[in-house]
Amino acid sequence: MKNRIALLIIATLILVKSVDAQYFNPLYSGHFNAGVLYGSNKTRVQIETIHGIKFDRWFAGIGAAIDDYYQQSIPAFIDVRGDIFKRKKTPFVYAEAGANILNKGTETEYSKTEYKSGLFCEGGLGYKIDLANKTTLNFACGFSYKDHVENLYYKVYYKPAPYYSPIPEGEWSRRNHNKYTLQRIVMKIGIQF
Amino acid sequence: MKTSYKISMRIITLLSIMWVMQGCLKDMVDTTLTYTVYTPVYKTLQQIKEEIKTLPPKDIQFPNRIYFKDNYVFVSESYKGIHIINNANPASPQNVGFVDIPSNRDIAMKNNTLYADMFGDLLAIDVSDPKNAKLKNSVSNVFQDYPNYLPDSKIIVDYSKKDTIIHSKSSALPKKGEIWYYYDNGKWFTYSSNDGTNQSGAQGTASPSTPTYGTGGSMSRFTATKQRLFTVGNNNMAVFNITNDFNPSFVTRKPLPWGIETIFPFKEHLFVGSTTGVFIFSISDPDQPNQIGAFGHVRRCDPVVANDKYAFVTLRGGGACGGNTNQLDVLSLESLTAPTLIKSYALDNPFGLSIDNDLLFVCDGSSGLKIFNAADVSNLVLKSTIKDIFPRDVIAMNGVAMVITDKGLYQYDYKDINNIKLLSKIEIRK
Repeated sequence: MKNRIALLIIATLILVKSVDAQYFNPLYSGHFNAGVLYGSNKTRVQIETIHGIKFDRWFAGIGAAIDDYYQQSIPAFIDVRGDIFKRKKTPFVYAEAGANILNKGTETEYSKTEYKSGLFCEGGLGYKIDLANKTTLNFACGFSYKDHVENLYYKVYYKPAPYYSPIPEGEWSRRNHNKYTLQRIVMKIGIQF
Repeated sequence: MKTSYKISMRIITLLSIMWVMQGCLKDMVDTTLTYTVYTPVYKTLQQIKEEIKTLPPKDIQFPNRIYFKDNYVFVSESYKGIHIINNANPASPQNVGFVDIPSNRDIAMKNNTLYADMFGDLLAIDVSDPKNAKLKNSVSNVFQDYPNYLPDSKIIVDYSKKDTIIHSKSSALPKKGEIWYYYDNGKWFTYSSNDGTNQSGAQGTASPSTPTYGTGGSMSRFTATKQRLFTVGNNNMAVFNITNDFNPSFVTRKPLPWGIETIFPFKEHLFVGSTTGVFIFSISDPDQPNQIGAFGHVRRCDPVVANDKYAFVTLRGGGACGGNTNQLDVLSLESLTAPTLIKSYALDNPFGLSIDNDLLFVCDGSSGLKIFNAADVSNLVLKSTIKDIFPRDVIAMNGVAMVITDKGLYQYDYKDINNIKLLSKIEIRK
């Protein structure tokens, strides 16, 4: 899986490198996309916004998303994408990589859940159609990966005799460390402006 | 027409590829479970009794009850034993030893005899030389709240600890709410309802002509007065005759409602705190405590202390105590048969309390130790609050407040109420 993601990123970078410097005339561009995430768990939605610069057939920017799949998170990532042709309707490739950010977790009197952020990667193919005023309508489909760590603890209090427990009173007495790796197919629709 | 057909075919092809690929996707969870395995350490009852003596001092880890007598503070370590602390100089208390008593929860003293529970037994321990405590006698199977001994007469006295780590990898299943597994020590103890009064051990010695008793904290379930040891269980009060210090004898057991928590002696009376109210017993005949009055309240945890005119009761809500209000109730004892509420004061999370003349000390949990001027009970005046501690019980006498806190045994000099000083602390070490 990681090899495939690495290959995708390398291919994208080679394409970026091949851009002729004489066409370099960067302009601001932004994206708003919404999509569905389809995997072995329940299908969920993803909403993202990306902002960066566009030069010739290429775009690079930073983005953030709300990813509701399995454990809600906020991926923050770098996005690189390139059009295959210099036409009004063209396929494109894209790749995103960054951090999968989660909230700190929850704590009650007896239990505690801690989340630690992980990796977010996504890449795929799309098709874009130029609309009026430098706006394009984008469709994309790709593979999306995110991971995170969940640590679970709980406290045990002394019970009155005869239910005596040897576990020290009030201490977090068990730790379950879970690393989740979540793989999804993503289908998105959005606009680029 | 042809164009739309081509687009439709592409979309269908794309969706088909995705559907096939979806089968290759699997959400995984790589789990590391960190367990601590507690293996019971067994001893026979005889072994335990033979080994009851003063051991070298141990660190206080989980303090429970506090008891003071003759310049010594006795701090019970939850279910483990008793720390003996020489408190002749409260500014420099000396931890002199530890008496290993598995399952011990409560203590009380008369003269130089320490009475302590161990499972269902009452022990009489000679502490005339605190560095050389000796078990003198025991009364078997007298505490109904405790488990009976295991069938092979082996008792769990400790647990050896071993950490274990287990790795596993599995599918991340859909979230349907967390499942928590609670510790189960693997053994269910049988419940004893034995009322027996078997006695064993050494014969007693004669008591001094004027007995002296110590002072227990308000959370105590044991108290000694009038040549008797009174103990309360969840639903009963037991009376032991301790005229002969080293030879306690069971006298009687009185049934009480469920939820009995604490016992506090004052002159000719016992004040028993329960989750549903305060019961007042006359001990003019100490062998037959006679309930003469009661004051009911909503279900709460409630230690009680009293003086000639008033009883002070803290009510703590939350958890097993029920409800969520926290307050101090002041009761008039003008009529002991019908105590009446004078006033309630809001508190945050009260535990034990103590009264010394007009000064009322209240352990208010996370809000610290609060000291009130109680000269006018209709208008208690907060004189001082000691913060940064989580006090659970307090004994205030002769200008020194001995406080069991979440951090250890703290002692304060309150001779000048406007300038309370920390005298010493013996800190918990885990």
